[in-house]
Amino acid sequence: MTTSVRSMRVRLLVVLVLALPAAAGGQGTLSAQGLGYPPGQLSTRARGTAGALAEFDALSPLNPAALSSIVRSTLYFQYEPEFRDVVTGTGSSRTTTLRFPLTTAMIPVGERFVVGLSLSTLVDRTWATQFTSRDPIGPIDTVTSTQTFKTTGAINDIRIAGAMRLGGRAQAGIGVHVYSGENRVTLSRDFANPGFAPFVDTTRLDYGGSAVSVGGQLRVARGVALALDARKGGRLRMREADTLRASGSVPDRIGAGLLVDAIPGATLAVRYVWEGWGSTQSLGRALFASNTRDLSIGADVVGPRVGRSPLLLRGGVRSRELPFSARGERTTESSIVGGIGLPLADQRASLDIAVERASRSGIAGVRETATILSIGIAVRP
Amino acid sequence: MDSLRIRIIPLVIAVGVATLAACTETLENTRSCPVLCPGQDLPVRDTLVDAVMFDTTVGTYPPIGAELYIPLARRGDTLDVRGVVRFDSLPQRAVTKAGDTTTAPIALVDSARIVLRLSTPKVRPAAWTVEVYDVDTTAADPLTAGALFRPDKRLGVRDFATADSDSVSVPIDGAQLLAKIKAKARLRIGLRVTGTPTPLEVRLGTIESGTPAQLRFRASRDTALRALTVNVLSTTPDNDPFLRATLTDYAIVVAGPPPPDAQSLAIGGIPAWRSYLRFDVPSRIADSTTVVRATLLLTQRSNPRSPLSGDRMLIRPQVVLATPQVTDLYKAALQVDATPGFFGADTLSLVPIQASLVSIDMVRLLRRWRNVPLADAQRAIVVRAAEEGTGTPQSLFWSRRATDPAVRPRLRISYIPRVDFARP
Repeated sequence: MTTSVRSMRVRLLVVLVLALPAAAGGQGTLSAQGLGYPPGQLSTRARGTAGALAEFDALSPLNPAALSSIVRSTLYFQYEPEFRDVVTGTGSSRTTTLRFPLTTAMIPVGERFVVGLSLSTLVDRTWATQFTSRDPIGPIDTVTSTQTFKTTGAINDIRIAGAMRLGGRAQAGIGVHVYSGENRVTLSRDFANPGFAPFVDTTRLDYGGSAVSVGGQLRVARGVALALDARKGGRLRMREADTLRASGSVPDRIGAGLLVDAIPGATLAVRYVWEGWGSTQSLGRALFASNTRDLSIGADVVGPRVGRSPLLLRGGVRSRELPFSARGERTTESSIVGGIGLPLADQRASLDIAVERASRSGIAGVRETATILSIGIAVRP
Repeated sequence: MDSLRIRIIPLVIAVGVATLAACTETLENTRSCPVLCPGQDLPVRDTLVDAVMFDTTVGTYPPIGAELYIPLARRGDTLDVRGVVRFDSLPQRAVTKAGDTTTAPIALVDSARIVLRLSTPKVRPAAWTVEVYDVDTTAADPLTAGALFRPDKRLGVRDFATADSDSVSVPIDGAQLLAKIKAKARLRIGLRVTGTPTPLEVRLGTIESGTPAQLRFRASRDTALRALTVNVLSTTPDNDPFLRATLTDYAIVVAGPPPPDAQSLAIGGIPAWRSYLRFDVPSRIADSTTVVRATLLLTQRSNPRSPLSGDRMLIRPQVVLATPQVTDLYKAALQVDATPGFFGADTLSLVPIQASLVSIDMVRLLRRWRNVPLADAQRAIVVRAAEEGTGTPQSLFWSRRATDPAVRPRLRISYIPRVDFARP
């Protein structure tokens, strides 16, 4: 690769990142209906390939067998702001949501085993809406008021998993998941008429549930690997002030991945995931929950060297269905992603950066776009 | 390689800038409702309820002796308010010669007068007369002094004009004062105002307002000697120090408007009345909703018999702080919040002769009562005149015993029903 070609690629990346804030649409509440928006439990590395590598990625808490690729104890932390734009018939709104969607610790035990503990966001229900209306009060009165609905919080997935290498070609893993989280929800209405007192009501929903997952990886041929994993959801309970309000099930999940690394320095992957979000239907009052499909294709290639380490370049596209919708129409999300990986400190740390541009639709006349900046830092002491 | 490292710097800077830009969360989406806000409707319902479970007129106020000002008032035969001031300790000795430092028993009284400090009268008469009487009596009831305003008891009289200052003096009979001094008796004077045309009202300062009356006289004919000043003092009743202090100066209503009939609630007047209203908000609203507006609707009844019925008067709603254990409504109506607007209700202005609908904001009070156990609050308000005991107008309202249900006190409530808003 010539220097000029490398230079052009780097310039392209710089232009891409710099252009993002200006071009960013943002993500709105089209995607965060129901129990919230599922970020996908993807590490920045996996997100850089649009999720295509997730079934093989040890940092993503999806396939427990993927932990087996860890050869040194690793701590991983991820930050992921999302800039949304929601465009409706009445105008557009821009919002910013901050997330810390994934923290992981992994330790090899002997030569064949790896155990890991991870905390990741299953669904994030953080958003707020505000609108002003003029409503009739009684037979002759009208009153102008501003109504605000705000919810913060998430359902998180705490996973303890172990993986084992079965010879040189196969790996298997098992994970136990505990789901915990809360939604702090505030509903308020402020009236323009001073004769009215403001209305504010705040409550907290607590969630608790469990699941188990199993997974495997198999190198079926030189340069070709398959991954398969499944999660079986247990009971998911919703409580309000210690009172059981509703219960459903943690969604079952089946994921499959195909990885091709026959070309030195380049890894191509395809991933397909099915999740049974319909099992959460009973948790809501008027929840429109449905099972989802997720298809992504991506690549991770070795780029130019920075210092003594190669710069990893990533990219991918993804199309998926979102589990919750406002009125029952299916909400879909299409994304294009780019990212880099930069080994640091003689491979004892790494910095991953990914930028995802997503477009969501589902309700006629409403369009939502988002830019997700994902930054992951892994330390291997 | 160095050039590549240099070129990677803008990328790191760009990511850093984007990260910093994302340090502040902005969640409010102002354009996506109602299409993306299912189930977030907060309907405001409106209802009119007969929430006043008990109402009555209580009075009269202020309690005897607690007046900031004594309203010496006359209005034909319908209103006659007088004042009593006690000088229960008269000096026995005084310096009687200029330049002398020794005192001698008082054997002479010269230039005796009562100094009165006046507040701005409600009705400033063109000409008016103050009469001073000896109203001392051994009777325990302080109101019996009202029967002693007899010609044979008169100590002094003086005519005044509008232009007279706010501090005036009325000369009194020195011989009668000397007789009391020699007898070691007390001086209790009664004051009343006369004149034409009526109505008349002169506000007399009291010890409560810091401007009590004074007695002044000389114990010698030597004008070079300073006059003696005697301050007000009450020495009875012996067994009640609080009442003893309040009876230093007080008003007596010899004639006043009759109490309102059962269909009416009265506010103000001389003597002043208060309207006491106790509430019982239906539990379907009080316990299960959030009240966002509550307005007490009182229907004003024209009161042409009120003094100054065409004048504007101010009324003030106040919350009763007395517990249910206080069953004496007169006392309960005294234990009210001291801060105007304590529960959000402003002072209201109205004209007694008019008939109108008066609205009193009660939403903050209803919310407060919701958090207070029934055993701890009477859940009542009083509506009183802002200038109680000094302003003469009196307003009437229809009570819950009015024959016409449409004019009874009602509570208009706007509320938001409890909604299950958190579950998606």
